[in-house]
Amino acid sequence: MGHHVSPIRQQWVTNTDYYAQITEDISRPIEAKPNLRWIAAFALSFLVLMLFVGAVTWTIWEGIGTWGLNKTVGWAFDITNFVFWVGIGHAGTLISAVLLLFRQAWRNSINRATEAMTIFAVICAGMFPIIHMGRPWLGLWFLPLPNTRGSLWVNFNSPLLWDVFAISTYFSVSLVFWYLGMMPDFGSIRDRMKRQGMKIGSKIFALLAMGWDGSNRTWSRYELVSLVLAALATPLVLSVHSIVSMDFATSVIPGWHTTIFPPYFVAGAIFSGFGMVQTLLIVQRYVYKHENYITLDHMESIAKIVIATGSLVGLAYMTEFFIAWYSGSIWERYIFINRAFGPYWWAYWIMFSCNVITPQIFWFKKIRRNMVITFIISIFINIGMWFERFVIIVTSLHRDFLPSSWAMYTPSWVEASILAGSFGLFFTFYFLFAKFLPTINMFEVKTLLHHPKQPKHTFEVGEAN
Amino acid sequence: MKTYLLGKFWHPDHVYDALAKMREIGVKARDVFSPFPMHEIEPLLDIKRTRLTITAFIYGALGTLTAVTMISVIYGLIWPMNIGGKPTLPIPDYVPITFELTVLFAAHGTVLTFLIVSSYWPGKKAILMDDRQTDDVFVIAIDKDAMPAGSEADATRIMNEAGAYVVTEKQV
Amino acid sequence: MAHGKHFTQEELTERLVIPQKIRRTIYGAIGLGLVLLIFGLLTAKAPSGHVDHDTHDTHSALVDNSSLHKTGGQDHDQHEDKEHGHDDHGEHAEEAHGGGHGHGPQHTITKYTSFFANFLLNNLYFLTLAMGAMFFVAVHQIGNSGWHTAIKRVPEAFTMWLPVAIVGLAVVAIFGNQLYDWLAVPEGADALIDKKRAYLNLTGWVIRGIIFLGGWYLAARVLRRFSLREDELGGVSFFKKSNGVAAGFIVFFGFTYVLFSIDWVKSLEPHWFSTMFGVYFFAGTMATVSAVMGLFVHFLRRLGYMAYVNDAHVHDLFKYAFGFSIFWGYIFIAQYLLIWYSNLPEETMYYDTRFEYYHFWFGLKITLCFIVPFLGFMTRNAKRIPKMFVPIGILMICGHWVDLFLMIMPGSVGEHWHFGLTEIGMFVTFAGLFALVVLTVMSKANMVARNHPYLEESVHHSTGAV
Repeated sequence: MGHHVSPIRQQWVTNTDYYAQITEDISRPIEAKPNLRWIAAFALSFLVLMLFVGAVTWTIWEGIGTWGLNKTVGWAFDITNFVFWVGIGHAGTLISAVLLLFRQAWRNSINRATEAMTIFAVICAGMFPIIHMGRPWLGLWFLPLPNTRGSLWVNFNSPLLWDVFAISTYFSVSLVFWYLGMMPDFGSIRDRMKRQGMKIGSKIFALLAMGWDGSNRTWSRYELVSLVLAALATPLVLSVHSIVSMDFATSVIPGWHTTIFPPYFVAGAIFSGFGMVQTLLIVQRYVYKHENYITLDHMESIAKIVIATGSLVGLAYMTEFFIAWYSGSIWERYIFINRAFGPYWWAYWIMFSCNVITPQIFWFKKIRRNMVITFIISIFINIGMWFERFVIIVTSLHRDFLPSSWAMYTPSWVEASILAGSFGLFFTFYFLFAKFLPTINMFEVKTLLHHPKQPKHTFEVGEAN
Repeated sequence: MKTYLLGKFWHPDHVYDALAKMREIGVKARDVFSPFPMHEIEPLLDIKRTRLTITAFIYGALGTLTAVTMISVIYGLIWPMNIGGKPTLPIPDYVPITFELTVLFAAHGTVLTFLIVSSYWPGKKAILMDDRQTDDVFVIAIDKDAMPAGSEADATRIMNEAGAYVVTEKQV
Repeated sequence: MAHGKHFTQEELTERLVIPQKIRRTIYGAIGLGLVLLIFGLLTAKAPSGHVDHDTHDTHSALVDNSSLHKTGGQDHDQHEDKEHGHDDHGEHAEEAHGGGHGHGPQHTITKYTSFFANFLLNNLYFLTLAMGAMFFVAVHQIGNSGWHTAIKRVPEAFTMWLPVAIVGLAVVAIFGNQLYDWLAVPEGADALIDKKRAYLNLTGWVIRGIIFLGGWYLAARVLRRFSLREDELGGVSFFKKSNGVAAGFIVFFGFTYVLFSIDWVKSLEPHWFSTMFGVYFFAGTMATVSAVMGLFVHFLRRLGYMAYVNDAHVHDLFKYAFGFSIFWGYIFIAQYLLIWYSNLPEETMYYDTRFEYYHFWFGLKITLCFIVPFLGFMTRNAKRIPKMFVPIGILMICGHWVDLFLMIMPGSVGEHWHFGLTEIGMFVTFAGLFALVVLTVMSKANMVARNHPYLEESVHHSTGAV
């Protein structure tokens, strides 16, 4: 492997000479006791999670009336948050599946963390439809199960039902993909902990590793299964956000019904996801001192994808605008002018400047390699992409076909708390992951170490014999 | 209980050289244990291409069939509904759910099959040739009963020359 | 595998000499095509006002299209009436727009209209190959791809078809009023077209055409020049300079290809609109060009060239063909499903015409552009064994033709589509010319970019576990 690598290629693993060093660097946080910094961060996320739990409890106790919705704008924050979180998840699958198919070596050290991000983001997303049901204990009615309610079946024509299938498939397949990727690393940690005499930890990881022994007969199958999963996850990730976009695009509401929605939502999802990847990885590589594995070159590649997808999103915005004019339909033309210059103009221009204009400064190499500026831009991207969904949803609804029912929408404190709290949910999961599981895929990073040195322990054994 | 001749290496390229030379004298390794996959040695271990892609296709087809049957039966026979004037068997509406179930079945079916054929299950005890083989050691394991008579010394020499830091035996 | 062989200087400086046999075959094909074309033209008949099409009382076998017509209860009756005359069923679409004359083309259809439409089709067909190849080169350049280096000269040569395409489209532009409603219909006659005249007008169309095609050709020229200079001088400076050009091209291409597809294809039916159209056009482009490149590389290897190219390269090209076919299917179904579901008359009219008069072609398109490559290229062997990928690739090539046929014909000739000697002859002529141009361009330079920094990686390319 890696025998013919062009000398002008970047080194994806730097300043590392031993395979064991990789294992050591990545397992260390798991083996160590939680430090104060981690406990503080975790406690803070947990506190925010409690805000989420409180606001959700209040919603269910009191009813959806606690939200700022009205008859005209009957969908706002909850669906915005749903689409936002599902979108965040997409970058993880793109990195783990699509970049695997495209044989991009730089994905090896960032796939684990981003897949975790995918799973937690999808969990956050899944909360919102359940909360909006009002009676979440009847959530099973989503599924096409035989029943005694007059044998009432689900509506297969409804994009909301397609969402149920899409999100649950996406979640379960991502989870399996993530777990499968961790099996070899669980094996490494199991053996490492055993060597250090950590009995309980070793037992737990032995349970998780399912008896992984690194046999090449298994590796051969394992690699193929990974590729099969990647080949399945690639169209899956496209389908998920396409189906989410169909929640809107199958309607007849101008601004919602536009045929480019499926690929445009997918591009936006990947864009927002990569924004979140930047936010998380910049902190993580610094805190865990993983700069040798998640190098500046990695961050640069991510920034390049951000430009590409950001520009695609910009292209979609402009296409929508142009075709709205080109259609000659007065409703189409009105809704787009209203979007940019109507009462919600500020939301539109936040979206446009954060998503289309800000990422363009990544065209400069210096900025792509400057982690402070990258971090700031990534926050802007997160904000911009949240506003994109808000703009699409609220501005298309608030000007009804019937001017007498035109209305404005203002979120209530409950909705704001649920949104803020969902970040608590996400980060609680993420901090648990960062502490107790390997945040970088060890075995895939090892394949990128082209010139290992002879480890010390092998000299000793050699002399003993 | 079987006795294995083990050659332990620290560099993956040495494993390839050792395997290639041993094959010339008719010694075939039972397996190689390594911290990461090594494509190049697969032909030297006589590893055939797995047929898991075929099973993935079958599971996928099963998913497609399940989805189409489910929607057709529920919507066409048990509970036809007129929604928005759409036909009761709306073929374009089949596409999203059919696709999702195809992927669902194919993905989980393949992973389960993989775990079964590799006989992995939660809590299975790993049989290790070396406790660093999941970290930084590459182990060639040769079944001693399957070796040509008298080839043990040669195999040991070849592995040592190729770069093994130790050649030893283990009963498993 | 990684332990592959090395290549001598001679192998890396080999040049293509087009064998006499191949040259004769190409000339023969062009000649035969021209003969068929002229014969077809001479025997062409002017379409009568109401051709009694045998297709017209059967509905699409593929999808129940009745719902496309249903916007409410009363429309259902209209749908029943359709058997009697095919001009009235588009009425409700027109009502929404307040103007127009049914959803066939409004310009006069003479016996030459289908000739011009066909000429446009073939020009676009081979232009998409050139542009797809250009996109391929540019994306692999900025994506730091190593594997494609050994076959890079093939797509590069494809892009050199652009000058021919420019001349062809200039001819189309001269006769534009034969095809494009918005050029043929005078101002004031169609309220909806009048609303779009700020964009759809002759001056703007021509200027945009010059900018788009000129920009693409310029980028193609520069990239090829850098690549050829690299052969002579070596070093990585040309490679680095190419990165900037390729990145700039991709941004330019993203915006212009969408507008180009509107200008030259979608505006054939100026009432209709869809934001997805540019993406759909792009998807078809990429699927086809991947298959054509795969076949071309295979063909050159058969001639004894490109010893440094192995099965893995061909495999990867057909993987692209497979992947982009699925992408095409996704874009197709996304556009169709949304229009079908929302059932707005100003959108459904696009599929109405196609189901009414083209339902055979519609089914053929889905079969050739999606089902055949999807099922055909699913296995690993299909992408590696010529007996499999040659026929599937050829079917895909036909599929793209059918796809373009369905994009162009309903707007330019309406129900009076024609398929016969003219169509086959024209395609064969163009294909012969394309092969001649590409092979000639290839013969003028090294077959391989011998100083490319990733060449060593490319000649040792393997597809890994798959």
